[in-house]
Amino acid sequence: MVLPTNAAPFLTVRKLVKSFRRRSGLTGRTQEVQALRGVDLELQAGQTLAIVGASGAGKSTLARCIAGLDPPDSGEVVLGGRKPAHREVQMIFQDPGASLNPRFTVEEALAEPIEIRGNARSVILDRLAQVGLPETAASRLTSQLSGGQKARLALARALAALDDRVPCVLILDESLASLDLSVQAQMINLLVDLQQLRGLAYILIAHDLSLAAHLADEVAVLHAGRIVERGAPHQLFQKPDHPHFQELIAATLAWDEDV
Amino acid sequence: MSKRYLVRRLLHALFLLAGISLLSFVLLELAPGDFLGEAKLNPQLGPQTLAALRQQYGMNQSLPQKYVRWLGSVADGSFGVSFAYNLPVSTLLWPRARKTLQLTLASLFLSWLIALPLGVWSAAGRDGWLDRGVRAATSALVALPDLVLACLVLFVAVRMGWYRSGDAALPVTVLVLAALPALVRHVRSAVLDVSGQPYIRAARSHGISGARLWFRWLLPAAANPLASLFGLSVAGLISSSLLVETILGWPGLGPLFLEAIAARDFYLVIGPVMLSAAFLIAGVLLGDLLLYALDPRIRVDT
Amino acid sequence: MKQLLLRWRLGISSLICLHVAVLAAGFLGPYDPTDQNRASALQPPTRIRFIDDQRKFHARPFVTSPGDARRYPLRFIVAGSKYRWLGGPSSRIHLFGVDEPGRIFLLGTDEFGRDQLSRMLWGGQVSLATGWLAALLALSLGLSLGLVAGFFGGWREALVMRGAELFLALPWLYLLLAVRAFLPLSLSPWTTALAIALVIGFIGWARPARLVRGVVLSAKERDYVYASRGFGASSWHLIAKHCLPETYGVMATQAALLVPQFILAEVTLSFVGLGVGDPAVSWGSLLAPIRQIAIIGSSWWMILPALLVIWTAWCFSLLGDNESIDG
Repeated sequence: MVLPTNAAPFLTVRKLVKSFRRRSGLTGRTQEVQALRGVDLELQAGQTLAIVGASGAGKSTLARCIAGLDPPDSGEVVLGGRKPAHREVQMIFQDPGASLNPRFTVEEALAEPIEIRGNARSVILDRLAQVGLPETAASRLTSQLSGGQKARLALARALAALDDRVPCVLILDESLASLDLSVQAQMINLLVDLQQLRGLAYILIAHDLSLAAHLADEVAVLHAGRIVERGAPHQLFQKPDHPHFQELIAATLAWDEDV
Repeated sequence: MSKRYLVRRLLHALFLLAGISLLSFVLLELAPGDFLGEAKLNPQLGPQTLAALRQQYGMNQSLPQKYVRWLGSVADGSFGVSFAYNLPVSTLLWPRARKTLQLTLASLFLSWLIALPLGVWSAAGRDGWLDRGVRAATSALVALPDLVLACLVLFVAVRMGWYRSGDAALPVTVLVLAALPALVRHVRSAVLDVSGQPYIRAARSHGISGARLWFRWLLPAAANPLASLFGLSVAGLISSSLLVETILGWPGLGPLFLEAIAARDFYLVIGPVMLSAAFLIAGVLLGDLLLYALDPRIRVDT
Repeated sequence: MKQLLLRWRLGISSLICLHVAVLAAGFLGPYDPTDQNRASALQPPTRIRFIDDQRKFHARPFVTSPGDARRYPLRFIVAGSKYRWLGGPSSRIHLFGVDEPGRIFLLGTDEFGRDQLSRMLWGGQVSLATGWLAALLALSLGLSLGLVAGFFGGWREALVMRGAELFLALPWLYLLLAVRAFLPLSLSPWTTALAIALVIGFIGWARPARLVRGVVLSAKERDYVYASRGFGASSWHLIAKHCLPETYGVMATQAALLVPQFILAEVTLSFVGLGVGDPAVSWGSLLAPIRQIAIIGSSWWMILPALLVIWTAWCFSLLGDNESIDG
């Protein structure tokens, strides 16, 4: 989806700073790690922004701050003039299956965001269908689902938590990386359809540059806690200025130990 | 040994004791009834006499006042006054405490003396006849409550004509029997855990085996869990001793305590509570210090 | 693994039998537990005989009283002393008995001539009920405090954990006896039992709380908890729906440990005379006469209540997870 470039940004991230303590394995002492050192981002409604970077660059931390799961140390995330509400921004985790309580059934897992939002449970089956899950899955335990089905369920839950009536943002934190290629392709189609249907904006945190290039309207490169490059995919990949981005392209050819 | 570590642990122990004393005071104060409560029933004591006695014993004071006064008495060593005996509590406590300590230390020594080899041999001959026998025995006996054990031993002793009041043999037997099952089990499992470690396997491959392996390599390596176990075993012995002394007629803290309770002799009740708490904490502290001395890894961190 | 299941089944079925028997104390026990009969003081267990003094065999077993040549046949489903089922409907029907003035004391009598079998059954009601009630209190307290400490952290956690440390360092038996002693001795038996249960349970919250906190600490870091947070779930929802189910395992093991411990605490209290008083009876008060050497010497059957306590403790231990210690 391409929008006129002078449209007002929908979601703005300003000077986001976040650090946290990490226990160093050898000495047992805690270290302060500065994950984000002043990140600035803009996102248009209905647009897909991909954030790429080497592992450890702070991508997940950024995702969590935008989603409101971890408060930043300083800086702000603004949507429509104020902090985003739960019904406006949702995130799908890196391991979609881990975001599902194994003791819950599919129906209970889907009912959770619906009930928290105060809506009626009757819409559950609709929502299952929306992500291509069969009705028969409703009574199964979430732990019994396949990887692809778990991803779909996580997506359905996020959608259920979002407000249908306003433009929303969905953050995908490397959510597709753990899936088989064929399942991945199905999910991508689903996401594209949903974007067209509901005008969702996506923030795609990715390792996989080809995926980012394929889906995104714009790509931002996160390196050492800052956005160092930004632009349309074909521009960036053909003419990478930043040396680290060059390394990144090279690195994606190597085996990624995170996945 | 790091002085800071020692000081830190001692301070911690003191805080704990202070907390326990406060908690005990509060709980006992909350419970209605005092030493003179029963005395009200005595028709010879008129209400004025009772009031005067109350004043004399300081029963009308508020809880904080009483507590502070008691702390003062701790400082000067008297630990309050026994209403029933009209003596400082400490005078009554120390001889009894000595007796209880004699019993506890003897039982501690004996139970570890038996449990260590038994646990090690059991682990060494894993699943052999000795191990199976030990496991069966401990499984059966570990659930045996101390109270009942003491009654059974008393029963057998009396029927067989072995019983003599004031003799240490029976109480020590009961305490040791009560402590052994859990102790043997823990020693066995600690040793087993350690025997799977790489440096033990390395020692084995160097040809070290048999008793030498078990007693000079494995046991020291298992010092960590065993030292913690030491503190717990002291705690267990202190709790068991109350009942055992009472049932088998050993003149320790237990019988004195029960007597004070029957008479609602407030400070004489608080005394043994604090003393046993002190023994308990001292035991755990000793275990920690033992651990500190035996396990070099801990010293690096502290 | 199969052995473990067998042990557990054995423990559960034994405990069920015990509890049913104790609840049916009035029916199963031939006499009223408070029925004193000085003439029958300290009698050994009545022998059930088939052959009478004339060497004649009788199909129906009978008993004889000392100094009385008559046979008293054993009868089943007889009318006897009145009793109440759990304080509710009353009845006079007992499982077995003999005609008056015969007496059948299957487990002997105490120094007041009271039937020990009936007393053991009725005493179980007090001891078991106190244990269960105290455990319920300790577990509820421990669960609530552990959930709060583990989930919210901060000063709440520090407070709860310091408190737990304090309570765990207490010489609990000493404190229990002391607190009980300072409660009025003139309360009715059931009020006393309730008070005792409250005190025992109150002192015992610390270990469950620590364990629950540990479980909650790891549970709240799960991704699905963060996902729920992302939906806007309240803390209450997170605790109730995601953390609480994780505690069930720990609570069950603790229950298996605490109930027998607390039953024993009640028995200990009654043993030293600080439990429920006459006319109520508890296993502890049944054991108390043992403290007199003379009684041990003359009446061996007075030790039998000890075996009952042992059996109860043993049944509960079958439920426990002690295989893991052995390794």
